[in-house]
Amino acid sequence: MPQSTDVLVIGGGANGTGLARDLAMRGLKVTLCEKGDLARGATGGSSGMIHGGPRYLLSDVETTRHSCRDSGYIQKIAPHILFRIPFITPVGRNDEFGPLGVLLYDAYFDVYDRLAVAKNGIPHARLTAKEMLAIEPGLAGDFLGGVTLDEWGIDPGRLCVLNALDAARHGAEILTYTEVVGLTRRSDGQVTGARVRSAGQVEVREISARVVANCGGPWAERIANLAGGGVRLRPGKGVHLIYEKRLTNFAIILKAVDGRQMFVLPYQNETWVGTTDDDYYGDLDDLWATEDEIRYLRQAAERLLPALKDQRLIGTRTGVRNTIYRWGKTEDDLSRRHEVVDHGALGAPGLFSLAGGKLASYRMQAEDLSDTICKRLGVHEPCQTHLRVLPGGDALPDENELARAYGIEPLCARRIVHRHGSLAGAVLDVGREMPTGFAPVCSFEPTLECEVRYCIRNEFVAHLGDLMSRTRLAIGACQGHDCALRAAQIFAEERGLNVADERAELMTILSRRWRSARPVMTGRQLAQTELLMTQYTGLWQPPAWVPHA
Amino acid sequence: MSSLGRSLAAKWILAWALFKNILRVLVYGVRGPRDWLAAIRAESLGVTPAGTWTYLAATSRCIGCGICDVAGRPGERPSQWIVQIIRQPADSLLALDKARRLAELAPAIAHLCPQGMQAQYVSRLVEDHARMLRGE
Amino acid sequence: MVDVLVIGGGLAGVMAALSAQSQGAKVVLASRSYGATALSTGALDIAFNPALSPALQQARTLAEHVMDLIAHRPHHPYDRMGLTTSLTALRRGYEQLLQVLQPAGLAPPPLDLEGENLGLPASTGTVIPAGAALLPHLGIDFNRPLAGRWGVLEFLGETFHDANRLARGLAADAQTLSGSPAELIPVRVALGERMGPMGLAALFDSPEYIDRLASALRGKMDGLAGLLVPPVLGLNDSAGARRRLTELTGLPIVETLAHMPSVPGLRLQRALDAAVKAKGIERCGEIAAFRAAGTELAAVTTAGGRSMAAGAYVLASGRFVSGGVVWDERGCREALFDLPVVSALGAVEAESPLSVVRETPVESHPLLTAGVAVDAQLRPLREGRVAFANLFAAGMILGGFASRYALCADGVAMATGYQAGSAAVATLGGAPCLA
Repeated sequence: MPQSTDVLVIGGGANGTGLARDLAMRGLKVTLCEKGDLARGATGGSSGMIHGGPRYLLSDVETTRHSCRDSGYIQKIAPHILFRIPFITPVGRNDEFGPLGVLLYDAYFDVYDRLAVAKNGIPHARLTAKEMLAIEPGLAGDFLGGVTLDEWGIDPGRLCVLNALDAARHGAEILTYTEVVGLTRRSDGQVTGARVRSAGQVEVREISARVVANCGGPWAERIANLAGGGVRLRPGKGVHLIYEKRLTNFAIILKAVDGRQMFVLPYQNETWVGTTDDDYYGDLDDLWATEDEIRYLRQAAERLLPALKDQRLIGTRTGVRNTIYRWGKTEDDLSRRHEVVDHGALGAPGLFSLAGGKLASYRMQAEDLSDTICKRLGVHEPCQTHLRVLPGGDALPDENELARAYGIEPLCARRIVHRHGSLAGAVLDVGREMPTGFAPVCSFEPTLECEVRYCIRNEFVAHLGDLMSRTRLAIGACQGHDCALRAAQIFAEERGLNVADERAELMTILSRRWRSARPVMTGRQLAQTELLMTQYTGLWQPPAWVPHA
Repeated sequence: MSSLGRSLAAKWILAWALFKNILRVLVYGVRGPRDWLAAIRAESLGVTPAGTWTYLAATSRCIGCGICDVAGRPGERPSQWIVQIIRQPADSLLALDKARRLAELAPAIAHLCPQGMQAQYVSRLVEDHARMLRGE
Repeated sequence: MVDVLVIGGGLAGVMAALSAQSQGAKVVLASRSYGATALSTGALDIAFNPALSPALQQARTLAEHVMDLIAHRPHHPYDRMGLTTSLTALRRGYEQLLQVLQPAGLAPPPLDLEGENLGLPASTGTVIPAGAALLPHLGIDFNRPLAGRWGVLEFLGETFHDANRLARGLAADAQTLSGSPAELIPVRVALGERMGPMGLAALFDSPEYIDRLASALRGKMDGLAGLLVPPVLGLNDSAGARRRLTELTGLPIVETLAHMPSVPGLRLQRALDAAVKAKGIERCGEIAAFRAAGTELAAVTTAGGRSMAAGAYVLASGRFVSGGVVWDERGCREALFDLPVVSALGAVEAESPLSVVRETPVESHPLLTAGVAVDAQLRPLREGRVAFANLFAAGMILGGFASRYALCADGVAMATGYQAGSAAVATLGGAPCLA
């Protein structure tokens, strides 16, 4: 752990890792502290899209323009982790605009098309009811027609890891599972650094920094309070439902019972239904999807796609938005703009906070804060984060060639290229080191052993559960039934762990999946859980077990 | 610009777009989805094939117990194919041989599977997607 | 005319069918597909109450563990039947199982309820307590100090039996249990392409493949007192495969308990199927509907439309994995007769799983103990009263216990299966119809 640094970045989500990359590229010495794993907060719970924010066209064209432009930048710097998601927006006969609905939507998206050029959007099309049903036969309802559009899906975990990798390549220090427990200050109020503690340890250490950047997302308010406040948030809880496979090939925008906009989203090999937006006053570190939220989402989605009733729910995603505080508005109406807060005006110079914002604009938000910090520190390098590619983004290798060269299935090669881009070869090279190198660890994704080992060696994996957001291991219906055991063995081998630690690491995957699956543990998923329990008998408390009721 | 100002500007832009849209439709007619569908098909994205929803639930029963591996020849892993080959439509083109084999093994799998997995529908999903992408 | 119709072809169902038939009834066995029995590890869990310190756990006999379960788990099937009936039914059920397992070469020694749980090595890298096990898994007990060095076999390229991790995990557990270190040495051989457990098991049915293994092992077994092998030595002829390997290597060969995919579970299920066939018990497919007549079950109908009337019925359709208990849009219930379910903590009337599933996986979850409530005769109850005078239940469908919270699933299956079969016969009015 470093003793001193130029900028201490607090938070390892999109903002934090994006900022660390930006500052490091401009030559500053950066240390990033994240109390959990990268992308564990708002970023990890996000809707997984860098959308252009079409709904802000109603109130603020600039927000949409910036989002679209920045989405375009993200495409250029990380083409490999993006995937296009086509959308349809059905317009009902009894919707708010009545018979004019389709016309109004068509005109609306004419405007959006022009802005979406920046992100390689395809000009939308107008649909009659019949054309819409031909696209998605499962729709139920009285429709006038609809419009199509498209957005870009992104893997938020990979995004943060790539940002962090690039930051590290430029000299940054990335410290996960390191929590900031206090800020150090001089007698005149200047913030001079932070006191940090590694997870599971008692010892608190000090890191001194010329500037401290608070990118704590929903926790930003709490961190700012360590120096007298200055950030006020209205945390908004958002829940998604996860279904077992890609059910529809199109994302569908729909309305919930209270008129809120929602979507059914095909996300890689799952289907997400989301999302809610409710003021959250609870524990940010202990989020569970509630029965109310699940029913609310199901009710809306099943109204539009009745066959969803019979489909298999495998989990939930729960996150909290770091929306800026404003009294008197509903959650959806709160602005998604971001703010850079200079705490110098509040008696704590040296501390800057980034509040609000959204995933799609992370790079721009980070640039904004980075410009401010660089000005403060007298650094005149311009921002290059929109020009230089993220690791792996420079070329997309051919999956068939890789499959032939390494003797793996093209399907597996495709997944590795998607996650690692031009570094796919380096990932697959690891597979040649051992006879099990190309064996699948997770059947669902599929994730090969070489990728698991590569990530453990290179991608800031501190605990086994971290692999979930890097490789999509244990993400699927099986909840880690198959893969968690093998992944734990690999991890223990790579890190030289003893048996007790290996078993504890196994729990980090199973606990994370449990949090997702428990609220929907009915139907097939209940049978899955019973099977999971059988598989792991004796592994969490062998051979003496804890007494219970 | 104030928040109200921004909002008014946005509405002005939309109103103008509405006017242009009406004009364009009157002159050129409605632009249907053909070009858009062709554009996404070029990226291996496409519609949901008709009839998918009638059998989709039957493809999601797998709990990963692995019993069905005994239905295949030594070395074949139908338990892995079942969860692996249905992803994006684009992947269907890479999975046709496995889909065919699953269809052959489906009766044996249904007999073995504790959850009553209907593997023939997994095959059908893959094949329907492949056909859709090929434009058939 | 059928005397007893058993619904469910796993361990409990077959025990009930054999028990009823041995007492003179004409039996039909209805089954849909394989279930939890075919996924079992190879262990035979009789009774193990974990709520004791390690030292006490080892010193207690199986009979004492049954007593503990009765004392501490008021809804447990052993408690429902009472101690005497439980122990008697266990003995008789076990004897029945031995007869099933003998032809397949899988039979363990006779049950000794005054013996203790064994500490058996599992392929997950931990030692698991078990009352008994199928024969290929017997021959080592980590509750006792290990005599000599044992090898742990790994097939290079296969991921399901990692010798290094196994050796270290088992050694750590052995130290805790027996108080002395265990010397376990990885032994690695290359056999060819990655096959997976089922594929390997099918290959090992042929003697040539065993020979290949034996010659690959040559020179790697010096100083070893025995060999722990992956549980894949043969599917249809595991006895022959193991015997051959033992002869060729001159070493005791013990298979670890399996995780999934499970070859031992398949072996057990196939042995049960073979016994049903050998006894001439008729089989039919999935039961889809039923017809009641007053307080009795009159007939059931298969999914194929065939109607069957029996004098008595035994429901042994399993829990969630096997589909006997479901949680669908109508809530948590038994799937066929719509019987209400109870857990170890009482009735399951939850609207949401959040109230019956705890926050971390390691806790014991009431939902996973959900099943039908029964009286002392193993008849399912509805609102405190017997649902049907001629319906009995056995096995995992019984509420109040879960196989993983008190390792007793096979004991419960054998005891309640045997008992339900007997009770079903006893319920028949007049002389049973002989086949």
